[in-house]
Amino acid sequence: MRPDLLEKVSGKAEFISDVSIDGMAYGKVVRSTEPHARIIGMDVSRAEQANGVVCVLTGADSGLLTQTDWGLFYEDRPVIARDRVRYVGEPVAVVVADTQARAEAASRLVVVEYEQLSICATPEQALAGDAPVLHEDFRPISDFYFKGTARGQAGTNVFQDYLLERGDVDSAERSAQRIFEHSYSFPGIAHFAMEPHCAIARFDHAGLTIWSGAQSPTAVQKVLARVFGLPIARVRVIVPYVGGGFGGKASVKIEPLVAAAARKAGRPVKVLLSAEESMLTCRRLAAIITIRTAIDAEGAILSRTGDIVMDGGAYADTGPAVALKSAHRLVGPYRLPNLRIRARAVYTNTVPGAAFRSIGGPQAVWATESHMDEIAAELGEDPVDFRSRHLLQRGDEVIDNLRPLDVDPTVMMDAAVEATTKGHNHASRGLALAVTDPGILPVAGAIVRVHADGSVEVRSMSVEIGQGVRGVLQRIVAETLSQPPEVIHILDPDTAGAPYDWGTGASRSSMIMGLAVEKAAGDAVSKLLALASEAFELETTAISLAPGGLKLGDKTVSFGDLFHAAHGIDSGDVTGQASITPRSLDGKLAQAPLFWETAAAACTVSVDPDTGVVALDTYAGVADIGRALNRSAAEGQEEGAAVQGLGHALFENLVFDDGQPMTAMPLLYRVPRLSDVPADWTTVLIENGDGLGPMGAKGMGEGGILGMAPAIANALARDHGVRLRDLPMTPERVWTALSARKWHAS
Amino acid sequence: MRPDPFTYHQPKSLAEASSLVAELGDGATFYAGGTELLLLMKMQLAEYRHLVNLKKIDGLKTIGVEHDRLVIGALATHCDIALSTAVSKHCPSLSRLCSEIANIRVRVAGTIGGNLCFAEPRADPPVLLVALDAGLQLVSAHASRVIPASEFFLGPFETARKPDEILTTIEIPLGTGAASFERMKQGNYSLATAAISRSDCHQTWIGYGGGPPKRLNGTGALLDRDDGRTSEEALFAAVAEDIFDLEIPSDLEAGESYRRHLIAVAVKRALASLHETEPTGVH
Repeated sequence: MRPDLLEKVSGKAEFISDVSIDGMAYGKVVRSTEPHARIIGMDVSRAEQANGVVCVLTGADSGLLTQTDWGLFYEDRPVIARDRVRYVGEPVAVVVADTQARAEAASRLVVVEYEQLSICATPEQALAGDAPVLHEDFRPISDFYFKGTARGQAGTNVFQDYLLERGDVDSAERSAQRIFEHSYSFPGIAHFAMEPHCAIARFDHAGLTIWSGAQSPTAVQKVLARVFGLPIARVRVIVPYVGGGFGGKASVKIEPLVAAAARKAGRPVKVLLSAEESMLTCRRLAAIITIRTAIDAEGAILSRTGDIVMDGGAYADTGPAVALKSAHRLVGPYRLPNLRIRARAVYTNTVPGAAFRSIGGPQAVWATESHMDEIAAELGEDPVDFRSRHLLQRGDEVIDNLRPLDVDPTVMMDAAVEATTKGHNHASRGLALAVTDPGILPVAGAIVRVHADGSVEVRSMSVEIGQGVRGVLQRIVAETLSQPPEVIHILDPDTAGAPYDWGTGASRSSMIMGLAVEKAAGDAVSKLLALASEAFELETTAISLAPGGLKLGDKTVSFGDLFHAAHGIDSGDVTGQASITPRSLDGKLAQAPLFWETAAAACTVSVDPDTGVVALDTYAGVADIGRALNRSAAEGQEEGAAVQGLGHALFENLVFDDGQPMTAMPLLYRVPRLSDVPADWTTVLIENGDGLGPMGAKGMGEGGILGMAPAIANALARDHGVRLRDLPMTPERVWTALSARKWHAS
Repeated sequence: MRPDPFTYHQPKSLAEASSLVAELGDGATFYAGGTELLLLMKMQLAEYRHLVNLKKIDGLKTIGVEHDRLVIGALATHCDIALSTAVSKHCPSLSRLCSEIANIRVRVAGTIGGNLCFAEPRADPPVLLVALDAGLQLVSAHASRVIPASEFFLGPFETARKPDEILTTIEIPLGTGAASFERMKQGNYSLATAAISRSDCHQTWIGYGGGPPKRLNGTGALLDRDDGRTSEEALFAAVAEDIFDLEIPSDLEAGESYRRHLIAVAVKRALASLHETEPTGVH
């Protein structure tokens, strides 16, 4: 069983919101009520005089910071708003008090005077010629968190403009028999992790220590070092259990603000956001996607063009990477001789966009897989047959210069179809396929330390965020050291003890950190054997590890015996250490992606004709994961992702009206419930042991979210005669489409 | 956010509770479960300096049959009502409704009295209770009165209850015929609710999220006229006419024309389940 589960169900697990530090004060964030405005006055005097208030941090305190603005692709975001706000929810002050209640009460006494500026509430407005420009000063930074530089256009709101091109689309379209073009929309979506954002910051003689529910602790460390002018060695990030993130806690979020509050307060400060505030902190990028496909006389695809416009919100965050990946993920597992996909991301006066489970994936797959079915319907062909004629095979190139495809799409599609057909001969079902290239940086390190009592500590920066990474690392170390899993202790990620790792996301930890701990455990084995060889004067070939210690021929000794023999006392340890780099595994990790994260999804749905309510009746999801390192955790991730996709498909929608968030609170934001999930649900994990990770594993955990929405839309079109091109497919939208169809028929 | 600090009073009698609220004035209100009140206070949408808890007063949770009435104490929780054999025997539609309100955490804390006095226009219980011709007993330190549920609800979050009056019991007459209710719920609240009861005539009531329960007279008359043989077209037309002048909300949850349609669907389904439950129902 996963080591975290018992702690969690028994309430013993410590999450960041449970952590308490000596002398800790509490910060409450005061947020902008304006989507775009100049701050022309701020009165914090009443708040400062309120009971228990330690201090109020505002933009006027920017002198405390070495660097006042930070970011991942652009240094476009102030730690705290100085003279201007760009979205409703942007922090303008932090009231610090001795209790949470007093901080909240005093936060209502802060008076901010705004002068409204004209706004870009939508991408259309942001792209208009006379649009107000949200960021006049473009300062791109390269290879900072993701590889590369964002291609923004200074003087406009476009912060990414990426083009993926192959062949000659124009001449393909000229020679085409038919051309199909459709547009699809995808709304902003809240991450809706069960635990909101939370961080505690403390400055002391040693530097800055921050406890945070962060997915990318080393990115937090790097940004904080710059913001406060500290050496990286003096910034320590500790991450206990995290109650879900889905990308919403990736890169850097509230940590610079919390640390600035602690710097001003002169004592540790904890900031725990409410669920509402987390919804005002980041979201999935909304998208409008137009896609066009040229077909020849035989019905073969000649070319595809795509135009993706993503609503990136007020600050770029990792949006440039999201846009780039959306272009890659629009391609699909198909032979497309000519290709031209443009993906732009634009600033708007809304909550900043950010990474979210399979960045850019659900948006792109929603468009491309709906479009595939629409073409098949126009051609009068079964969507399975239409896809089959164009499917790539293992070893084919999806995108030029990337790793050739390492899965069999036909096998995956057939498995999904088979699972939802099951001899019932359902003619109607919705289908969707996807291939994505995870943006994994193959850089990680780990330490595996074997103690004299036989306990083993593992230090890594991989964050246990509910996915079960600690169980996976425990199993790998246990097997490499030939020890029972219960003696392997996975410590809380802490930059003071664990080597650099890029972060927990992009389906990378089991694979990359798995390789790192496997190698570090191997290093520990070598060192144990060398020590035993010296101590017992034996050839290392005569020594092996066994549960509880070592085997010397037919004799077994404990680790304590080993250290006793080697050191004269039965104390000591052996530290295995390892790094993974692009040159590891003889350079096999150098080519991107490290694996293709793929998905096949099929479903059947029913519709209440009176109300338009859609019910998912059967669902099958297929993933090729190389090897399941923990089967129930792997199935849990795959199924959890698909249920999250069900929320995207039917319910979730962060609506902004002239920049005002209208649904950014749990009361008004419907997420999927267990009662929305059908009993007839199949999860197929394909295991060929052909991944580069430990035991042949590939990464996983994101693919399941991709296929749900288009599979449902395709089932609605085939089975119920209505084609929806906007998400979510709410009852009202479905009913309106059904009514229009009835009206046309009569 | 936390609510602003308030004083929490725990009177032992109705008279004491009523007098307390009368003395403390505008800054005081009754606390009968808190599933709505505390939410508003946390969101800073309501501010009270005094909360007077009614849950410590004996006898306000009793459920039973007295003479020709099913009597439900106002401090009974939704869960108490859903689990009551008296309610499931004499008023199965109310039993079902209370078992489906919100979620289990709300059902074990929230009370029927609190629900009615809050007068949330999207709540379901008011619609069924007016259709059941329930009487509501209101008690203050000096007086007591019973008013019909149909006169209790005045508008969104507005009732005929005076600030120092406490809703103590809900009385549902027995033996008046069958009753049913259906609701169209997609998010956290119902978009439309319909309740139909039948004694000598069809009483058809709807909730539509914009005001107090509304009686559909034309629809009721149609059902009386051609009992059991009403076509869907005729029913939908009658409902549409009855609600033609009604101001129906239109917001992000649902637009006006969809809501108008859902009201008719709710009535259709309430009618279908009325036919199914006859002749058991309330009797």
